[in-house]
Amino acid sequence: MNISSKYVEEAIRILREIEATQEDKIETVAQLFAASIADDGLVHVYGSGHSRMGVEEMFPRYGSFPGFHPIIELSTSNYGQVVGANGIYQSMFLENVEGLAAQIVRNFKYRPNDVFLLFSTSGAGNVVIDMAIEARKLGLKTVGITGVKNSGLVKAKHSTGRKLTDVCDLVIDTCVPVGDAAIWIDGLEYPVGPMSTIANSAIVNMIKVRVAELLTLQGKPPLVITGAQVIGDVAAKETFDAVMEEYDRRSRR
Amino acid sequence: MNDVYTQYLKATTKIINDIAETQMDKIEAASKRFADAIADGGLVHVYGSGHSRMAVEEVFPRYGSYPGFHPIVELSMTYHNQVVGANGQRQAMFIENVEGLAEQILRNFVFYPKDVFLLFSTSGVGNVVIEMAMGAKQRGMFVVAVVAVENSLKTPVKHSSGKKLIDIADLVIDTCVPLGDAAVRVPDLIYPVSPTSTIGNTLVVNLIKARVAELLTEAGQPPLVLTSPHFIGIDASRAIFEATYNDYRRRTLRNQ
Repeated sequence: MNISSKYVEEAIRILREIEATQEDKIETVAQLFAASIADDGLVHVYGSGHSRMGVEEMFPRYGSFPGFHPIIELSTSNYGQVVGANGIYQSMFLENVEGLAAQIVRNFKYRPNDVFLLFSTSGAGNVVIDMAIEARKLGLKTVGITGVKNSGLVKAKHSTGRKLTDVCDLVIDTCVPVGDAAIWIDGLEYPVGPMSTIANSAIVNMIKVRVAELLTLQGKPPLVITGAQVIGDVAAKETFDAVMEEYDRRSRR
Repeated sequence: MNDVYTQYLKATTKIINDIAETQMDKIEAASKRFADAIADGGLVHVYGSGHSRMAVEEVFPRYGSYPGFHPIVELSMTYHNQVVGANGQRQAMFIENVEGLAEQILRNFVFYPKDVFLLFSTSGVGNVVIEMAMGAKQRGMFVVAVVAVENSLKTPVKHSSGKKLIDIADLVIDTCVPLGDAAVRVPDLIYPVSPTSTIGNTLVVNLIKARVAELLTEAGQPPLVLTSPHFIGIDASRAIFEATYNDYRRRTLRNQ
């Protein structure tokens, strides 16, 4: 089998594992989110580093809808420069500074029916752990999406000795292998081909489709950002504007 | 004229006069250091947290500026336009005091001992800017700090070493701005308004830039200057932009 096919096979294996082992948890989380969103609550979404991609997958984009509040902190997730000012050294340092999460969390207003959704493949980043701790102090439910096998082998860094799996009410396992990279090449001593983005995206979209269904069943169908190819130019623009207005209304507190 | 206008204009005029009367020897010393470094293929690394980042942008790149200066602009501490929310001011003000971060910034770059550091801080007590100075000194570089000295002396120290920027820098230029930065008292308002440090910093930056350009030209190494088409026409302006940026790339491309 060629190496590209190996990656596809491994990705499919992980998707099947998520389906087989995480569906109950995903259903519980979708119910929780739908109940919150139906009641004008918000699902606050955060991830440091590459886990920020899970946040962007949630909202805003085509096929997504208001009710989710993406928290994108450039200090922990904007390292496109790689080396230099705003490089990945700074980002990897800051995502482990205790106390920063409290400064992020205090910018927003919360209601008791809000939920926090947190992404971390290692589950050991101090900022994301602190986000969960802060959310719980506010009395909010927390959901962590993490690579459980991977996290189990990662050393705890937080001063409390805890990992994300220890501080979240609900944990969904991305089922990614230890170290995230899944493909070994003969003659290369390092594995390549990380899996966490595919797993995070699959889980996010499993949640999103189910939340959309639950909201629709309750007679509260969400406004969905939809392409002009699907509903035509005029309707696409109108829907987009309506989604932005709805997002603004929900997040204006 | 309304009294608040007069107050602000008086305050800024006083700052400019104070700089002219008290800081020119230091500005001359800094200019010579910078010109020597740039003439020798060195770089002047420039950093400031928070609003002090505005002075970094004033140095280079912009019209009337030239390569040899290396602006270090860290968004985590200077991109606070959201004010409240993700990337808000609270996070920026927290991060600019996290010890250890400066070393993570510095390790990205290749430094030569002939390089110089130029650091801006009105309070002179931010932990990141202080550690930038410490890291620069450890690497053998000369450090120039542009600080509001009176303001800094009366601001409590935050760094675990007990030091302020003025304790570490080799050369300190005083922006001569008043204590607390804001300079205007409005009747019935208990808080002063209208900060002056941007004007103090900008004046110091441009005094240095003018003199360094003169020194480099005298040394037979006239800098390539980003120049408006008003002076040299559209085609020449475009050409000098290309040449300037290529020169910047050449100067900042370094091997270990």
